[in-house]
Amino acid sequence: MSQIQVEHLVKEYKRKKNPEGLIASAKSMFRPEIETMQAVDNVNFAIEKGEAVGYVGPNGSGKSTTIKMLCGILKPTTGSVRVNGLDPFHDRMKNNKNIGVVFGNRSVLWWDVPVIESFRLFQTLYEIPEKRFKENLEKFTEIMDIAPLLSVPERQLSLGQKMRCNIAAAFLHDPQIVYLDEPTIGLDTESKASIRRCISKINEEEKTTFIITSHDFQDIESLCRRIILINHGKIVLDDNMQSVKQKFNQKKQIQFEMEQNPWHNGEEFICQGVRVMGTTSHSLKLEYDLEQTDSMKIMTAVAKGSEIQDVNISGRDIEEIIRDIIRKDNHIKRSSDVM
Amino acid sequence: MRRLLFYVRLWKGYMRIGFLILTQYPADTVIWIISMLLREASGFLGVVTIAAVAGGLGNWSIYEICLMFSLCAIVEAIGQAFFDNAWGIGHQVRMGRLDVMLVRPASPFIQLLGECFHFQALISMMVYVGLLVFSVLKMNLHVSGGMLLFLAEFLVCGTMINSGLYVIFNSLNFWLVQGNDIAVFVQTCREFAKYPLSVFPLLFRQFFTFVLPFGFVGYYPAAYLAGKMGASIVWQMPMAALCVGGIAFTMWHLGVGSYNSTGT
Amino acid sequence: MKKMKELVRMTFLTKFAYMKAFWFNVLGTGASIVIYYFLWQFVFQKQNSLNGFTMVQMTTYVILSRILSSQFGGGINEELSQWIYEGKIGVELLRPISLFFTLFAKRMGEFLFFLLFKGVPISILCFLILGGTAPAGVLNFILFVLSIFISIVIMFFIEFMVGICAFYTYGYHGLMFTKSALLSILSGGIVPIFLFPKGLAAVLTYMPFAGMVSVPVNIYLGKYVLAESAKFMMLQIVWALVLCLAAHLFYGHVIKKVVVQGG
Repeated sequence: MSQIQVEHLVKEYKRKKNPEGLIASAKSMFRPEIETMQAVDNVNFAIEKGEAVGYVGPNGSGKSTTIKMLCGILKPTTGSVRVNGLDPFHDRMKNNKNIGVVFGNRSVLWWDVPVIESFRLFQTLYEIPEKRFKENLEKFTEIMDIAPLLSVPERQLSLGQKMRCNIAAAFLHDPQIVYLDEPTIGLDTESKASIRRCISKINEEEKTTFIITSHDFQDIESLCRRIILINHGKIVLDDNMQSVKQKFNQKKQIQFEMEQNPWHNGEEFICQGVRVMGTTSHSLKLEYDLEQTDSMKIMTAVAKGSEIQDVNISGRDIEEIIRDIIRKDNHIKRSSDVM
Repeated sequence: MRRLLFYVRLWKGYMRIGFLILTQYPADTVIWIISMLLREASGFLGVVTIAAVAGGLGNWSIYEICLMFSLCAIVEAIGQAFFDNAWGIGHQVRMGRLDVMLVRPASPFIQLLGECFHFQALISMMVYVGLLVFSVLKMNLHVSGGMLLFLAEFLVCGTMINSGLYVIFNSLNFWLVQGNDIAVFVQTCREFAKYPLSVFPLLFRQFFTFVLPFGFVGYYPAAYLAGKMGASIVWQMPMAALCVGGIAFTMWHLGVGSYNSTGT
Repeated sequence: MKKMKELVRMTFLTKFAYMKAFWFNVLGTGASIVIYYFLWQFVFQKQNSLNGFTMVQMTTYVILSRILSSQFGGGINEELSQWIYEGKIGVELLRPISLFFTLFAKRMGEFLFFLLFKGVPISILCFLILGGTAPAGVLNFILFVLSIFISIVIMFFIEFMVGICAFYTYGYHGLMFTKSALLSILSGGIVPIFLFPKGLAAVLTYMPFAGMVSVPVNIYLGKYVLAESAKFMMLQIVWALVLCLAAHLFYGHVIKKVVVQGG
C-alpha cells in the first residue's frame, strides 16, 4: 500500500451567500441564504514513500482543502484518506507525530521569544529524545543556515529568515511526510532560491516524502518530480514532471537574426509543420511542431535562403503549460455548463 | 499516566515561554494589573455605593458583600492567569491559527491555553486575597480548618465553573463569524454573581444556579461562609463544576470537529 | 461628505454581516439594565426618594445610562490598536484621506448603527417593561439628543488616544478593558455621580467623562435647569475641542516615532 492513499475524496462547504446592498444585508441577518460548494470533488491519488509531489492549482481550486484533509485538519465529506494506513482525522494525534507542516502564511514559532525556545518547546511537544534533538538541531541549523538566528526573537527576523526557521522546526521530530504550503510566498528571489536549495538537500538526504503546494512554478519545477494539478476541485493532471513537459510541449519557437530576410515582403517561408509568427527585414520568427519537424530541418531550410547570424530556440516552461491546461479545462467546463 | 506526565512537561514548557514573554513587556504587566483591578472594581463600586446609600442590601452587610466580591474576583484572576486564552478561541479560529495546533501531537485545547498566560493576574489576585482577609476579619468569622478546606474546594470548583463557562461561550465562535460580543454578554452575566442573588426575583436566582451557575462563583460560597445557608453547598458546588466542565469539554470537541479552516 | 457617507455605509454593511453576534451584545446590555433595576428597586423598597430621584426616575437613569455606556465596549480604539500592533498603520498613513477622518466616519457609522438597532429599540422595550419616565419636556429631549451627538465626539477622541497607546504596549486588550471600565465608572454609567463622595462628585461633574452619560441623562430627566443644561453642553464642546487638540498632539508625537522606527 502507498504511503498516502486518497480515494474518492469529496469536501463540501456550506456558506452564507453574501448579499449585495443594504436591504438584502438587512434581510440576510434574519434568514441567510445558504449555498453548497464542492471544494474537492472526487479526488484520487496515491503517493509513495520518498516522493516529492507538487500539488498545484489556481486560487480556490481546492488544493489547500485537500492538504488540510491530508493533515487531518478537515474532515472529508465523503471518501477516504489513508496516511501510513491511518485516518488522519480520526487518528490525528498518532498521525501528527509522523508529519511536519510548513505554513507559508503563518508561522508556528513564538513571536516574542528566541527561536531556540520555540524549538525547545517542540522538543517537549513531539517528545524528541535529547540526543536526537541535538543531532537534528545541529543538522538542520546547518542546512538552513540559521545558527546565528537561534538566539533572536522571531519578531526581529526577516521573512526569509522566519521561513527558514519554520522549515527547520518542521523537521526536528524526523517526520516521514512534510507538507509545504506555499513555502516561498512573499519572499524575494534570493531567499526563494536559498530555501529551494535547502529543501532539495533535505529531500536528498532524508528521503522524506514531500508534498508542496505553491503558486511559484519554479518551486515546483526545482523541487518536485511529480505534479498533480487540480482545478475546480477535480484532478486535471497527475504525471511525471518530465513527461508533462514532453507531452504538452510539442510546440517550440525559433527566432533567426540574419543579414537580409528574403521572406520579408516577398514569398512566404514554407516548411512542413511550421507557422510564421513574424518577420522583419532582419529577423524571422517561427513556431514549429515537434512531431512533424525539428530545429535542424528548419535551420537548414533557412540557411539555404540567407546567412544566419543568430538563432534562439525557446520552449514553453511548466508554468505556461499548466496555464494552458487550466485554460482548456475551464473552457470545457464552461461549454458543458452551457449544454 | 505517561500521557499525564507529558502534559505536565508541556505545560511547564508553555509557562516558561509565558514568563519569557512577560519579561519582554514590563509596561504591559502594569497595564494588565490596572485593567484587571478596574474591570472588577467597576461592578463592585456600583454595589458598594448602592449598599452604602441603603445601608446594606437586605440582610447583607457591606463586609459580606466585600467577601462575595473577593471570592468572585480571585476565581476570575486565576482564570486570567492560566485559562485566559479561552477568550482567544474566536481569534484563533478566524485567523486559521487552529490549523497549526491541529497538526501537532497534543491536545489542541492545552495548546490553546498554553499560548497565552497572564501571570500578572496573580499579583492583582493578592489584592483580592487581601480584601478577603479584611472582610473575614471584619465579619468576626472564626477561621477554622474546615473553612480553609472549603476555600480550597471553592478555588478549584469556582475556577472550573467560571473558566468553563467562558470556554462554552467562546466555543460558539466555531459557528458564529464573530463572537466577541458573546463574550461581553457572558461577562455581563457574571456581574450578577457579584450581587446578593436574593435581591433578584426567583427566576433569576434559578437561572444563575441551574443555567449559568455563576451563583457558585460568589453568592453561594459567600452565603455559606456568612452563615446564611446550610452545608449542602459543599457537595452542590463540585456537582455544578463537573456539569460545566463536561459541557465545556463537549462544546470544544464539537467545535473542533466542525472546524472549517479558513484560507485558500 | 460623499466619502463620509460611503464610510458610514461600509461600517453598516460590516455590522450587518455580524448581526447574530450583535444580538448577544444587545442581550448583555439588557442584562446589565436588569441588574441595576433590581438593585435600585431593593433600595427604594425602604425609601421613596434619593437625592430627589424617585424610583421611576432612577429606572430611567439606569436604562439610559446603561445603554449609553454600553458603547464604551466598542469604539474605534480596538481597530486602531490592531493597525498599530500589526504594523498596518503605515499603510493607513499613505491613504489620501486623513486617519482622523476615516476613523471618525467609522465611529459615526458605528454610533448610528447603535442608535438605530440598539439605543432606540432597547430604550423603548425597557421603558415598556420596567417603566420609566418621558423626557421632562420637548426642549429637554432635543437638548438630550444634541448632547449625545456631542458626546460621540468626546468619546471618539478618547478612543483615539487609547488606541494609540497600543504603540507602547504589547497587547491592547488590557487597554480596551481599562478604557471601558474607567469610562463607565467616571461617566456615571454605573451609579449616578452624585452618589460618590462629595469632593469626587464635584470634580467628576466637570470632567469630560460626565459629558458621555451623566450630562445627557440629567438633561433628559430635567435635573438641570435650562441655564445649567446650556452650561454643561458648552463644557462638553470645550472638552471636545481640548481632547481634539490633545489627540492631534499625541498622534503627531507617535507618528514621528513610527516614521523613525520604520513601523
